[in-house]
Amino acid sequence: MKDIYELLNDVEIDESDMDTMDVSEFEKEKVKEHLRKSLKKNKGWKKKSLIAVALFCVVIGSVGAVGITNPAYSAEIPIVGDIFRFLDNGRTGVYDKYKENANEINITKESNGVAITIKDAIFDGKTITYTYEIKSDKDLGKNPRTDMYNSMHNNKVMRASCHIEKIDKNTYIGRENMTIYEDQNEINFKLNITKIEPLKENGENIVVNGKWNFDINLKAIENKKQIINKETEKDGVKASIDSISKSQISFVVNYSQRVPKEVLDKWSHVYLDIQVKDDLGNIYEGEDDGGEGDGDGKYTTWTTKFGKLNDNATKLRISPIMFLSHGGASIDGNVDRTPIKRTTDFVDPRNEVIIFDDIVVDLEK
Amino acid sequence: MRCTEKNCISRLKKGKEDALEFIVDKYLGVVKSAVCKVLLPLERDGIIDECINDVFLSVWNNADKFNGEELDFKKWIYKIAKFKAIDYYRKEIKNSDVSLEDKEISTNKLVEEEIISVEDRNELIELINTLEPLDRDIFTMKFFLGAKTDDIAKRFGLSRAAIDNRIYRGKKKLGKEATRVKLEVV
Repeated sequence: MKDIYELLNDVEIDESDMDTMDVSEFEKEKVKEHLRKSLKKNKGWKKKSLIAVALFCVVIGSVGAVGITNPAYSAEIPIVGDIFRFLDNGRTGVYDKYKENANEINITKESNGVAITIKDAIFDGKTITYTYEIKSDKDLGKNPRTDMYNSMHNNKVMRASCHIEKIDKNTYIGRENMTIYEDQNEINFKLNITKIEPLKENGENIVVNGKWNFDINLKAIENKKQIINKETEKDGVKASIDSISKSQISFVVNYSQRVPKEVLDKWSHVYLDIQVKDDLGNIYEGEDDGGEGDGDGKYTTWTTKFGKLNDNATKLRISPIMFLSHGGASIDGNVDRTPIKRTTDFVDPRNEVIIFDDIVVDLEK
Repeated sequence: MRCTEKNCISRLKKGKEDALEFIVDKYLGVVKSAVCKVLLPLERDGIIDECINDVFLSVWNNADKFNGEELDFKKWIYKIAKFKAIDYYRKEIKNSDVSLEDKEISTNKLVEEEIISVEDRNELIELINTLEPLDRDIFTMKFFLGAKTDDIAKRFGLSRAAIDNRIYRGKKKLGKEATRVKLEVV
């Protein structure tokens, strides 16, 4: 059956029926802005905001710190049932399956008038994700940051990101991801929070010192890694899909870019992003998990996490797209760092994108 | 690589967002003109902008259904804009019916008028699919694009009476369902 768009395609009209009206650049921008919001993409630029967020959460992988387990008392009635999902404000769907598969922790530690509760935690073999709630007797500002030490035997934290939101008077909820270097079947992690520092607002800065120690053991949920190593090349730049890990909560795509020196010299930021579709027509929205590069920036690996993969999907079509920009910080003559306005608009004539051919991956069952 | 005149349609079909922005730059004038013609008389704030956004989102979501060349693409966008604008118009009229209460209902004119709700519209599309190609085009033009019978007649080189006749027969063929979906035009 033909739908309305196909029916309209069939119907002929005269060219003379079509008038056109003058539109200003402003009007065009307004429409584009609206569309961008509706499509909720611009994913390639999230990497910058991820870095900014990560700065608020100081996480130091330390072997020396030892956690002291205090007697735990049960938490009060939760304010938000599914924090994983609640904090996914962009509604990517990445965290939809987390709560039902997570280990309920519900351990509260109180110190200096501030109670911190670790609510749920889950470990997929590579990344620990946990949610927490902070209740304080004083206002901790809009985005408090926590200084913490964590130790997990010999595993060092490779990267971490957190998301914290104020949900009520003096009440906050947060979600934190910590990714380790080596895959593990089980993990013991000790979390020692030593201070909570509200971000400077109106110059006021009340630091709350205290001792909130947690000691958590987690078994990794079942997950399966498939090595892909498929590469595509364009304009001298290579994009490669390295591996995919699947579990009942999510799937994670590891991919990498190889960028020649000429391109790196021209652009200050070169990010590879991916769009993922399965053979059933589902489009997956991901959450950037950051990346690591070698010293000179020629080789960088990235990780993006997606929601649960449809069980009936047999193929994934991955479209790599590279964003090249001049954004970020530059150094002027006075050796002061002068931030250039961050451009989130890839139609900005100063920015460019490279669209690669799709990479199709046959999924192992 | 950037979106150009030549590759923008194929890039749009592939779901590349820069192609959509390119299309906004290129066709906003045509879309705005089609939408304003229908919705300006309503004098409702915001409805024109809302409809324009909806048109481009529909183009984005249904790009795979388009086939043809660049000029056809312009026409296709124009037709979608017109169809959407009429759709918005119908919904607005329907809403105001409720607020105006019984005044018009007593004359029984507005009630009879051009109201195709969303479910009904899908049903109508289903019915239209059962018609032969010529009738299908006539029905689409009349009910979704609000074309005048005279214009339809001119386009197909038929007389006004012939078009009326075809619509009459078409409606009859659509039978009971057709009376349920109240086939009327703005």
